[in-house]
Amino acid sequence: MKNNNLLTRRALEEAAEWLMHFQDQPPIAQNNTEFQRWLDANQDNPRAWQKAEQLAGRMQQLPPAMAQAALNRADSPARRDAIKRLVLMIALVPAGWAGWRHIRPQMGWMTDASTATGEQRQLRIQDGSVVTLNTDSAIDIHLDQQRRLIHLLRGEINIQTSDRADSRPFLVQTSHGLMRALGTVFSVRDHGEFTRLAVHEGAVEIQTVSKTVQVIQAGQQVDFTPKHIAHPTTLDTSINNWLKGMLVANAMPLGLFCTELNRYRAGRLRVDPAVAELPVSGAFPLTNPVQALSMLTSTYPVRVEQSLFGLLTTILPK
Amino acid sequence: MQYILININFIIYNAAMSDTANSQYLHTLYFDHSSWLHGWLWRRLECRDTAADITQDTFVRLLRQDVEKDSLREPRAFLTQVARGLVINHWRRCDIERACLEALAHLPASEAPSPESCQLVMESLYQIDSALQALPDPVRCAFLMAQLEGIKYKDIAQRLEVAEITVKRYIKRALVHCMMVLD
Repeated sequence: MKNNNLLTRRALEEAAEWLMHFQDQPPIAQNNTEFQRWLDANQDNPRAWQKAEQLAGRMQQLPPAMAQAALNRADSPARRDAIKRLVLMIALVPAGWAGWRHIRPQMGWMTDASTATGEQRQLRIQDGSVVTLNTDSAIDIHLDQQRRLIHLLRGEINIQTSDRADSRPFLVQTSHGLMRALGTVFSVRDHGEFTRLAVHEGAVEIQTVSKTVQVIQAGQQVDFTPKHIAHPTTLDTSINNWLKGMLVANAMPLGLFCTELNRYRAGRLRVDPAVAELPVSGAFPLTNPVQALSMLTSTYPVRVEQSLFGLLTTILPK
Repeated sequence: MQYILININFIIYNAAMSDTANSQYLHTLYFDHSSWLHGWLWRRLECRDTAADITQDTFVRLLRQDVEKDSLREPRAFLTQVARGLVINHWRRCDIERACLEALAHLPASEAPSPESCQLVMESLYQIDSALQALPDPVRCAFLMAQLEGIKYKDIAQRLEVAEITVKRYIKRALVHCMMVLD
């Protein structure tokens, strides 16, 4: 059996060589004789040649424009990101932290929770910690004897770790890395390309996928990617106002403001480039995006236009 | 959900399974884990309609592998591994379809293939793309440059900044791989 396979592989390689020879140079008479000799040499060679011709024919029959577009395509950053998230589905415990091992997913996919657009949810988990999910967010919670792990799959959460004594480390994982709470209140948001961590009380240690480590103290916030942790900056306290149902803006460009507001409403919200840089300030209700929009139009020189049965809202100059 | 249950039962009963203990096991796995898997996928996929399809495909895959009774120590880990591969394949298919449709949009009507042949072309492209995924980038690039664009080996060598003999090695490797993997 093994012998048979070896012969076949050699025949295929020789067939490939002949194919390349004919493709690179047009067949000349003497080559044909050599080729014929090769074909007659054994039973495998003609079969291998048939496969080679089939493959060449198949490639040739492809409409060139479609084939090139499809086979030469580059994955979009969004697609690469999506694959990364899918691949990091199982919590990988970094080797550096003592006493840990790979989580066995069977034990302890105990809970999972998610919120729809515009919904917020607060959960108290078994150890007494409180996790609040913001709009359009999803988490998996995994508690076992070694660790307490929240896997942030999408969106934004705020965590208040329990003040009950618990020797198990409290971890939050995103596709960009793992965070370990050092007894705290903190919030984590997955921005797709990076994770933003804001520490309100206590401290949090980050370990990125590439094993870069840094501790972030209360009053600080930082963005990190799988490879890199940016410089921590002063905590923007308005980052947590969603917990109170408010979007607080302080000279925030209208375009950015609308991107944020739209996390809480269905449909698309577009901003005309002419007004995208308009600075917006004030406290806007997230539980009532319609009211937030009317506050915008009564305070600023903009108007709102609805189309596609309300699915598309555009903000334009007045 | 009822409909899905009936579906999978139909498949199981009609499969040529030698051992009824194995088919019972698959039933149990399905009952215990299928809605969990559906939720798991649903939470992770941007395009959520595919969650149901992939859940089904995962169990069909298990069926084909004729999983031995009680052989999975961690069913959910195994299921997510299988599902993950299927999702990635699905995305690849979507990307190829999208690229083809975009290329089609730019073709003059006279040159565009018929809808039926479009489907066949896309299927063929998907299989070729799957085969090429196993190859390293330079090998795949050299192969595509030669086969799709008809670029001469010495020009490929220049573009990839390697020796011409390396280009020939790459192309031979890709050809042999495709011949072995494609039918």
